[in-house]
Amino acid sequence: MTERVAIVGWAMSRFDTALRHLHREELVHGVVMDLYERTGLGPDAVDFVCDASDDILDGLSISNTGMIEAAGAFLKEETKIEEDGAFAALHAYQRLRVGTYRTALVVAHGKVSESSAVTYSNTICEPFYQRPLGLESITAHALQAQRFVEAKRATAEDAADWVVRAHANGLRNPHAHAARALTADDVMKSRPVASPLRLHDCPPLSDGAAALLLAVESEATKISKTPIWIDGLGLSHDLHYIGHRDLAEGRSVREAAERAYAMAGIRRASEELDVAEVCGHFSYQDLMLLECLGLCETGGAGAFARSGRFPVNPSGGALCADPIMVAGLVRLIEAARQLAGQAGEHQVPGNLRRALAHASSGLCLQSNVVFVLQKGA
Amino acid sequence: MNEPRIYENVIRIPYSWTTGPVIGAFLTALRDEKKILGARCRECKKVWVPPSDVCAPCNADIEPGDLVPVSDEGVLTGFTRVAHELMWRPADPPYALVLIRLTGADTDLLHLVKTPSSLDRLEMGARVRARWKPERTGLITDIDEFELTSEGNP
Amino acid sequence: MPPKVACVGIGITEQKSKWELTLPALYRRAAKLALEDAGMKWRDVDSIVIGNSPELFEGVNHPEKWIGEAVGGYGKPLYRVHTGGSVGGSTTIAGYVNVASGMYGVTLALSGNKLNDCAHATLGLSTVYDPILGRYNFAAGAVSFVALQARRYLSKYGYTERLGALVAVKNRVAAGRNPTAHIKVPDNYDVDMALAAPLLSDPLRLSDCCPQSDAACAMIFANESRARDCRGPVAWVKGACAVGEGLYYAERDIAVPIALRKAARTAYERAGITNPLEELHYVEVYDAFSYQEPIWYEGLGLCEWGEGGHLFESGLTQRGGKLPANMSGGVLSSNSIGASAMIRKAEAALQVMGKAGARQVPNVSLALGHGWGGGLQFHTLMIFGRDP
Repeated sequence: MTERVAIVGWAMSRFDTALRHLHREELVHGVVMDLYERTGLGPDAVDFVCDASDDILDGLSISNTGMIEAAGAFLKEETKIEEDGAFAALHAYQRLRVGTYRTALVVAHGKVSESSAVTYSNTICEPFYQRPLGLESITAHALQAQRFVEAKRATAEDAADWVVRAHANGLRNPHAHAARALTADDVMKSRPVASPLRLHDCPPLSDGAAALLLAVESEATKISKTPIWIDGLGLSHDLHYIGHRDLAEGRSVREAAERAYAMAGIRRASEELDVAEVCGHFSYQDLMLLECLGLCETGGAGAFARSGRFPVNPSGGALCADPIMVAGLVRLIEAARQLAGQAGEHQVPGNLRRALAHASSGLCLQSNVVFVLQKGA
Repeated sequence: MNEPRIYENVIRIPYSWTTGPVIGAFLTALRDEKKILGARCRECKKVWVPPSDVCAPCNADIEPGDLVPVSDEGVLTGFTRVAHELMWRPADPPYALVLIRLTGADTDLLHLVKTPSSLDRLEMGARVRARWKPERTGLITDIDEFELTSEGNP
Repeated sequence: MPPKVACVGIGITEQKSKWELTLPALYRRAAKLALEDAGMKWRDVDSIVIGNSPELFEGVNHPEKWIGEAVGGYGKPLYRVHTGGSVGGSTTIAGYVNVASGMYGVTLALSGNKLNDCAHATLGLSTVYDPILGRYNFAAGAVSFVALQARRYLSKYGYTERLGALVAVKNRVAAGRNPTAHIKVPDNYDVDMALAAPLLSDPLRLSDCCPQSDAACAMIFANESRARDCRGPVAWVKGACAVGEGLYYAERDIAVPIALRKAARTAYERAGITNPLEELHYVEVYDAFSYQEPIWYEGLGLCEWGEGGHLFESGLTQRGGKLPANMSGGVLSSNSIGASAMIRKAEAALQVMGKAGARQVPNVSLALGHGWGGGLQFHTLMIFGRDP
């Protein structure tokens, strides 16, 4: 039986609308050096490096060519997973389960300020049916939100309340660069973007990078006093064309969650987990995720969030900082921080034992990964 | 501290995408016959509009012989009025991106509504019909938009 | 010891100028070939890994989102790998890792590209260059960058253009026995004909360069118990490794692939190989350009630095020699970039399985497949054996 795998270190760069003073390689280098400083380790301690970035976002094909030096991967085993960093973490986890490697460094970056979020998401669409109609992240998620509301699973008020709560959390998180004090009225009166989405239902534009260190059990206990075990992991994939599926079903979220819960032995998520970080990029999407991840029943997301009885996105989530290709990895880091008691001002109080982290890839939750984390034994 | 130097440029690359026999047939039918085709899976009989090369739940191949005509009329199953500026927008705002269940189809088609009188009456279940361009070239935009066909409630 | 994992099925589409299929349909074709080869059905696959190289070739970002459902990905665990030209190798390794991790019993790994969906593939490739340091001023395309490597190799060790021509002849003639290969040459193809080909970027002639192909490859990996259920022969993964070196570092010598040396040492250690030249029976190297073959021999530790050309000239790696190399025709004969590094591993596995048809080398029980990518930086290796 191979060893368990734990998260033993992490680092996040500053997130901001434009990190103009840093070349993308400097950004990555900085976050990796930060991780080494925090863990007291260096490149020698890393057996395998897994980076994540997007060529079209970077405007550079084979965007990891410069990452070998930047991530300290010189003459190391390395690969690039071209999805959100959370999926690179998944691959790194798999590597460590093989038993050949003892530690793995995951690093993801995205500088949307150097490119265009619309180009990034419009080009995800196949070229024949969706791309010529200008479908991209905002319009696609507007259609998903509209379907969710029509199915009576949430209201505009629910979404507004969620945004207010997210930003209030974000104000306690120095990385949540876009967080501000909002009222529900502010949200519901903000500029219409693509119905039903208004400005505050949408994520900010963010540059950023993040790094994560994973280790097998015998190594983890040497590196960290609070290793955070990855107890459950699930991944799934849905149809591509936006009209070929029910956008409000969230099928691949449910499948990913089921797989992660089965692996971790979780039967009732809201009772057996203590905190969740979910990577919705829009208010309605976060609410939909609460249902699809099994935290609340169908149609109950608004009430569940308002009840405040289960902490979701104490970091503020992607609504407060949304670095493309990184936001999901950040959810994993934030969930780990909560369990480790290292979330600073946005720490959820109490003895937290198990956490959920979710990330997605593609439009409208097409592909999803779910992690179940545990602190302690 | 000096201001960072910003270098701006674009990447311009031409493409010639193969549509393959199935998507190719769909686009050709738009151009030559003002017809919308769907793919009927030989196993589950579900009619996919627009067609892909595969019925994914069945893992069954779709071939040109599986293509069947569906109506160019249907009902709205989703819509969003687009207000924000997009680099690649298909029309000048205001317009809406909509999802339509065409009669005969089992999935929704993504398209546009542009006409102001239609934009005012967008609601779930509203009946719509394709408005074709007189000059067509074999693109999804050979349909200029969908317009609402009925007054009041569907 | 990591768990035993075998490759149980392989599918390689024809590698040609333009497949009249969409990208997903092309991958599906490779997947079906592999399933048939393995005697498996779509439902037997537990997870999927998709490799595809620079998106700017097909102009679709995150192409696995489009491809996934065409290769049985609906409802399945699926993610994408992209490491440039070595992507086929990284994807193969990721497929192996999926199974070796214990999470899945059977994983389908696919990799490919349709270079010819890009109306100007070399322009697409120019986006590999850093925009600030040279893309818009003197982006050289792949040919010229590798020409620098070739020139360095020739001047460093004193070989001549004839070496490139000899490699071209070996591989281009070998392609005649490979039904999927893109470029075939007449039976009487010889060194003079190779040397008469037009210069593209000195010293590289057309004969020294790979074509632009559309292709996809699929390999199915299975754990020990699922592999033992398979009727036909399988190829066991004995060792795998992928190592990268920097792009622009000061002491870099692009004719001395130290990352490959490191990857090879590690892979041999994992496979229990101490003398690769003696113990390997077959090798497929990623020879996008002719001179690369002898350079990669050196990186693989088949000979000392600088001796690759002599090793080639000795005839050891010819058909009938002690360690035949690239009997598929190599990348020189077919290059979709995306599939190429996986096809090198697939060809090695096919040799071990005894399923390499007219290009089969007798008695191959240990074979290696290589791939490179990025700015001559990333090297991937997988070694297959007949015994678990």
